[in-house]
Parts: sequence; C-alpha cells; structure tokens
Amino acid sequence: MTTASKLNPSPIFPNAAAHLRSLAMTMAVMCYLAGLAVVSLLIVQHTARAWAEGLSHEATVQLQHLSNVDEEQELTKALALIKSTRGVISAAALDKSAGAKLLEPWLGKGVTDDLPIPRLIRIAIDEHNPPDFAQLEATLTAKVKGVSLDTHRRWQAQLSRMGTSLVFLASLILALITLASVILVSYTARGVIAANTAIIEVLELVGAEPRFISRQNDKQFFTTGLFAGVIGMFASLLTCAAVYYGGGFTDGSAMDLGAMFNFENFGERVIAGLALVPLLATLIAVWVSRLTLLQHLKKNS
Amino acid sequence: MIELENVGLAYGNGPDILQNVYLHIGRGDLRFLTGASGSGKSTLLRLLFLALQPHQGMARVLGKDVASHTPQSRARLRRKLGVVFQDFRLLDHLTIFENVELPLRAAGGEPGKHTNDVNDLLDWVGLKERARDFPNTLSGGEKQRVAIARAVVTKPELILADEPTGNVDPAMAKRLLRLFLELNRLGTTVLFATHDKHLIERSGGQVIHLMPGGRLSQ
Ligand SMILES: Nc1ncnc2c1ncn2[C@@H]1O[C@H](COP(=O)(O)OP(=O)(O)OP(=O)(O)O)[C@@H](O)[C@H]1O
Ligand SMILES: [Mg+2]
Repeated sequence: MTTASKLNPSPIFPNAAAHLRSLAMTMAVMCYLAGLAVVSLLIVQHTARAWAEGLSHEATVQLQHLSNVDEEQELTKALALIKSTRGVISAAALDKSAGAKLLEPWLGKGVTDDLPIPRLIRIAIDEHNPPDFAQLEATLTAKVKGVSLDTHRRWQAQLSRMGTSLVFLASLILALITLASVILVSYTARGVIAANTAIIEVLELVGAEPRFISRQNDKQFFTTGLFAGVIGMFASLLTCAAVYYGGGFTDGSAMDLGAMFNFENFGERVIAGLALVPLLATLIAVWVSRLTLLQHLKKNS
Repeated sequence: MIELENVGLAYGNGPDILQNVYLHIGRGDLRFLTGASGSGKSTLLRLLFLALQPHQGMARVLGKDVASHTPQSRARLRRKLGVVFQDFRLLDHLTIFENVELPLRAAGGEPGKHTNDVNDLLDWVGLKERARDFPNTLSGGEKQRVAIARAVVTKPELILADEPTGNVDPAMAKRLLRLFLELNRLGTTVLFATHDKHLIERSGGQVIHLMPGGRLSQ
C-alpha cells in the first residue's frame, strides 16, 4: 500500500481528461497549420532572397536588331565599353543561337532563324563595388545603336515587395493561430475548473496555496500542449516532405527546394522554426491555463 | 487564538445569523459549542476557518484579522488549522490514505513521505484496513473518522470540529473524543461543536451556547 501510493499518487484534478483530449486534438490541428505557415514563411523569404542574390551580381545588355546596322561591330563596341567600366568583373556576348534558344520554348524550333533576335551581353558585377549604372547606360546609348541596359533592379524591387507581403501574410496567419490557441486553452481551463470546483474548494480549505493548486493543473496542460505540438510539427513536416518528393520539385526545376536547402542553412532554419511550434504550444497551454486558474482562485476569495 | 468582538454575520443580504457575538478562546483551551439545529454553529466555524467574513465587528484568528488576508496568507493560516467539516468533504477520487495525506501534500510534502503518521492515525480511528479503499465505499461514520484523521494529520494549532461524532456509535464517540482530549493535552486548542450532552459532561470542557437570534452565552 505504502509503496503504491509513493510511486503513483493519484492526480489531484481527476475530471479533466475529456476536456484535455479535445484540447489536444484541436491544438494539434492548430500546430499543424502553424507548422505549415512557418515553413511557407521560410520558403518565401528564402526564395526571394536567393533570387535577389542571383540577380544582384548580374546585369544584361540588349542590342536591338536594326536593319541598317552592322550588328557584330556594335556588339564589339559595346563589349569594349562595358569591359572598361569599373566594377565589371567580366562581360560576354551570348552568341546568336543562345538568344534563339531562349525563345524556342515560346516560338518553336527553326522559326527563330529568320527572326530579328536581339543580341545579349551578360555582365558579371562586383557586388561590393558595383558600377555606376546610370553612367554606363548613358555612355552606351551615346555610342552604340539600339542598346539598352537591364540591371534587374526593377525585378529585385518587385521580388522584395512580393516577399515582404507574403511574409506579412504568413505572420498574420501565425498570429491568428496563436490567438485562437490562447482562447482555446483558456476555454478548456475554465471547463476543467468547472468540473473540479468541489475539489478546488477542498484544496483551498486544507490550506493549499494558489501555486500548489495551479501546479496540479500545469502538469496536465504541459503534457497536452507538448503532445499536440509534437504531433502538429511532425504532421506538417510530413506534409512538406510529401509536397517536395511527390510534387515534382526534385527535378531541378525553377523551385529547386533541394538546392535551397543548401543555401544559407535553410534546412536548419526550417527545423528550428518547426521546433518552435511545440515549444510555443506548451508555453501557451501552461501559461494561459495557469493564469485562468489563478484568476479563478482570486475571484473566488 | 480566537477573538471575536461584536461580530455580526449574514449570508448575502439575508438575516443576521450571528449578532453581537463576543468570544475569546485562548491557546490550549478546549471549548464545546452547542446550540439548536440551525442556530449557526457551522456558520461560526466557517467564519473561523476564513470561509466567511463578518459584516460587522472584528474577528481575529491566530492573531490576524480575518478581513486582512491575502490568498497566500489565508492558505498559510489554514495550514495551522485542522477542520472537521460537518459534511466531511472527502475527495472521492482519492483513496482514504490519500485523503488523509492531502493536507501534508498541500503543505508541500512529497506524497508518501509521512506514511507512518498517516497509518498511525488511520489505525487510531479504526480504518487501517480500509486505507486503499475509496470514500464512497465507506459508511457515514467511517467517512467522519477519515475526516477527523485528515483534520489532525498536520498537528494543527487550532482544531475546529463540526459535530465530529455525530454519525458514530457512543463507544466510537468516546474513542474519538479521547483523540481530541489527547491533542488538547499536548497543547492544541480545540473548538468542538456538538449536541452530545454526555460527551461534554465526560470531558469537563467549557460550553459556549449559541442562542436563537445568533447571540452567545458562555
Ligand atoms: N450557504 C448558506 N446560505 C444562506 N443561508 C445559510 C447558508 N448556510 C446556512 N444558512 C442558514 O444559516 C443558519 C445557520 O446555519 P448553520 O449551518 O450554521 O446551523 P448549525 O447550527 O450548524 O445547524 P446544525 O446543527 O443543523 O448543523 C440556518 O438558518 C441556515 O438556513
Ligand atoms: Mg452545522
């Protein structure tokens, strides 16, 4: 008898199981959604940054095909000008077939042979010491016919604008999930309190302090929050894996998640972000239920 | 220990249950509280274990005004009290042993740490064999004995017992009274509400009588 009661004292709040079970289930769904939102947020942030990064050390010069101009001569002129500009690491003209190849997917093979396809010069830029693009553009347009400079700045700005708004959206979703969880936990805690009113009263009468009473509660909400968080986290991880392997992202297409995982520790950040989900769920479960109970005890006295 | 000065007390906006009550009980005293059913004995005890507040006068328990407590100080004071409730208030989901152990756990004790004390007490009230049973398998008198064991397990400074022998036979009543007398001999202050004239005569304690209308005669 003595060993039994030593090893396994009965929980002091017995009438909580049903409330906690439904909390565990709804909270697991919340954590699943939160996990998806976290991963989406990180993907968007990273894609935008990876692309912007790629764009920022490149620029392109385009030479319009003009009927009465010697294309090769203009090209050489432009190349010389570009190469002599400070901040340019290298510049190379794509040959005619390369330009045609870029258009092939839209126009079809062979069609491009007769078309006036613009010639392209790809410029590698020293990121830390970028050239004065305005100056370069002015010089080029003055001396080369049909030239235009694309610094990708417009793309970069748009990318970062899109990135910012998507990150904002994902954060908003996360905030709403957090709010809903807080309400959910507080509602459950009130149910647990109502189901255990008589017990709480006896505890108070035998001199249990509010802290002692809320500790009885903490244990149950701790395990519930942790359980829900871990389930939700693994479910969202599984979903991401399924989308990645099942959704055709492994073939090196534009959304190459595989490559992204190696860019700036993306994989580690996803793991860290997802690990936050059960942590936050446990914290919310314990803190909100504790506050609700302490509030109840205070109001009671 | 207990000082009441001109205390008036009512439930909500209802009539006064206690009126102009003066009461002084010193450390180590033993007092019996009598009065007709409905005269307010339980109400007076509720005031003393800080479950009710007077609307008039001043009430001090263990040197502290009952109106000046915080939740923490109230809990601290209650741990120095041993209360036998008229309706027992056992927790049905805990075993008899765990019910008696509860005040020790509430005071911060590890479960199972005071096993010997609890078992000795259960032995005294004749329920050692029932330690692992649950309260709803006990008779009224047996529950009452568990309630008494729980009230005294912490060796309280002041025992407030609300008809603690109301549900047991005379022989058991005598045995339980001995427990209270023994604790009183060791220095515990005891306030014992009862209708049992024989018990009072046997013990030689002083009697406080609650009269209809809520006044005390001592
Ligand atoms: N919670 C309550 N709300 C309103 N009135 C109450 C409440 N509890 C008791 N009373 C009233 O207070 C009066 C005194 O009740 P109390 O329980 O103190 O009497 P008692 O002397 O303990 O009686 P008994 O000997 O039957 O236990 C009764 O008239 C009762 O109706
Ligand atoms: Mg009574």
